[in-house]
Amino acid sequence: MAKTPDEKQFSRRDFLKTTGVATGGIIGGSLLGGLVGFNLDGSSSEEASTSEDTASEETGSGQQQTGGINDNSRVFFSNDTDFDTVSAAMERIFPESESGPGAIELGCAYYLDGQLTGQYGFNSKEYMQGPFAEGLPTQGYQSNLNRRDYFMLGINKLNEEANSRHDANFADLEDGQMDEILTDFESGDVDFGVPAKTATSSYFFTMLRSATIEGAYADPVYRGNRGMAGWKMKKFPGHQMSYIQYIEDDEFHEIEPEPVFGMSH
Amino acid sequence: MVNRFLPYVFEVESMTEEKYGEEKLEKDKGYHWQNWGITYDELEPYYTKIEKTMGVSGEDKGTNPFWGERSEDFPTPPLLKTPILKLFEKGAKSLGLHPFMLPSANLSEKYENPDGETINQCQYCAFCERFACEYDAKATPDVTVIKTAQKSDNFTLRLHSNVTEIIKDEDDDSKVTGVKFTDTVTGEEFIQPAEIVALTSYVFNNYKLLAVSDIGEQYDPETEEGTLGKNYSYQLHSGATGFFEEKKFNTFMGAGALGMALDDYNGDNFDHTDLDFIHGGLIDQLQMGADPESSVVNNWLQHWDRDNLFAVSAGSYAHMSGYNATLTVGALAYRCAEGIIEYSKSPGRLES
Repeated sequence: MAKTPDEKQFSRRDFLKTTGVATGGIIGGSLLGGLVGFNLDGSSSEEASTSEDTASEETGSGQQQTGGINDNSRVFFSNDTDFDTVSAAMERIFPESESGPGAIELGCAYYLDGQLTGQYGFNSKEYMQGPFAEGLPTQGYQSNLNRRDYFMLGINKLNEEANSRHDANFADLEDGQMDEILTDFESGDVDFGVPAKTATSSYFFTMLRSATIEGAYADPVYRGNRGMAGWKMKKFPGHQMSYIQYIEDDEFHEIEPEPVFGMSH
Repeated sequence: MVNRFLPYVFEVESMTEEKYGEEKLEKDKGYHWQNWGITYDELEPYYTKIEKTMGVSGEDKGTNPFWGERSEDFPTPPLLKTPILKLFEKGAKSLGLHPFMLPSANLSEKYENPDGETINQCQYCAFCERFACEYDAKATPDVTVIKTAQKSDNFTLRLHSNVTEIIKDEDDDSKVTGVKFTDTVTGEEFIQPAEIVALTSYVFNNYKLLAVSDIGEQYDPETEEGTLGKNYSYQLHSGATGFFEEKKFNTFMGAGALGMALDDYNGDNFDHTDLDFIHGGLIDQLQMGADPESSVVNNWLQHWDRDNLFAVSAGSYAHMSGYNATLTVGALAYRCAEGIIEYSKSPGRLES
């Protein structure tokens, strides 16, 4: 579809609204991915690309490869402030660098959004009945809260700290200020106002850090690792059918990555 | 990885006492050592049988001097050696140690087992751990024994069935009469009558069924009476990671059991005289043993209290070993099967 400066840019959102394909049904991605990429030809428009659109643009061609959907809907983090807070925190944990993109561009917060919407968020497959006690570091999740509530406790606390220390929301702080707060969380120095067996700032930080790393490296089908950029930074080829022909080789093999739903058989 | 336990493992108690003296066992400090009630030599034919069912891939039997006697070589050759493994091998040998390829249930080549089931060749795709194998190259029950069983008219596999209780015979306290189970889809409860009941679930569930069915005596750590649930423990893992600044390895390629090991520091393969430990940990709960006072099952895995009740799991081990539990469970399962066949012909207490 040819685009002139006068034509309203037919954005991805418009496409999704009119065609009604934006449901969870399509996970193969080849249809949606192919069509979504078609009008993002890199030319700029007045509807200045938000960082979201830019990310999609850059990964537009990658979508056909990824087979995952780079949609920016949020189910758990429907509140912008919450989402911006967790995004900013994740970006401090896994920042953009010379090696490549950081947590925001990788979509780590979207990964977490998806997880908190499901079993991980509701602790559905875990024993969640009392009695509750503070566990040893080796004893895993012990809280009476599910992870949805735990994360929200932590995210709200991040903003509380930010406002109390600097009169601004967490996402609006300088990197160094964010790091200070996160470091205090990590060492358990921030009081959540609940018993330790319910929640601690250090365990919240541990979960946040894990979620960030998972969001960077999980298969794109889980909404992070956009464009497989996390894998590309590590030269990890994702989901390949076989290595038998290479397994004895001395030389390192750089193989074009494949996601789990992107392969042609 | 599917290793046989060392001969020493089955007789830790007596062998340790013989070599180092009884004090070495520190029984007065509460260590409950006891021989298994079966020796490596007695279990050897069953090890061979389970290896053949799985098609285990491994090296010539002479490769590892610490292995117990093997009546036969492995059914298939070992997996391929990667540059990392070659490095390990070179380093270990330079220290005078004896590295060997891990015996593997991801097979190095396509193989047909004695039951006529085919296991395919491992593709080193590196998605082994906790995933099903897309190539049927992992010798799991679904590819081997379950497939074989389903060919029999005698076999029914009932899914979505959670066994909740073993039904005891009210008139004969040496028997059970079947099990109660719940259909997890419909919620209905059923009784399945049986002449013989074999518990073959994970150790915790085997234990739980015996406990809730009130079969056997719960172990009391204060009085040290009872046998059920005694000495529970598990495996410990530790490790080290090497970082190479000048080399890159294809670490994204591999297979679940692709690796090398050495037994020089396993079992009693090194002198423990001046050490305050021997061998490895304990993994009980449904301990196998020579008598009902000290164990839950005999060495046919037959329950001491109920003749027609058998229980197979790693919970039968008197001690854990310096290896994974799997192959020995398989060997014991064949041993148990033999016991069940014998029982079906002449019911009663099997001689162990």
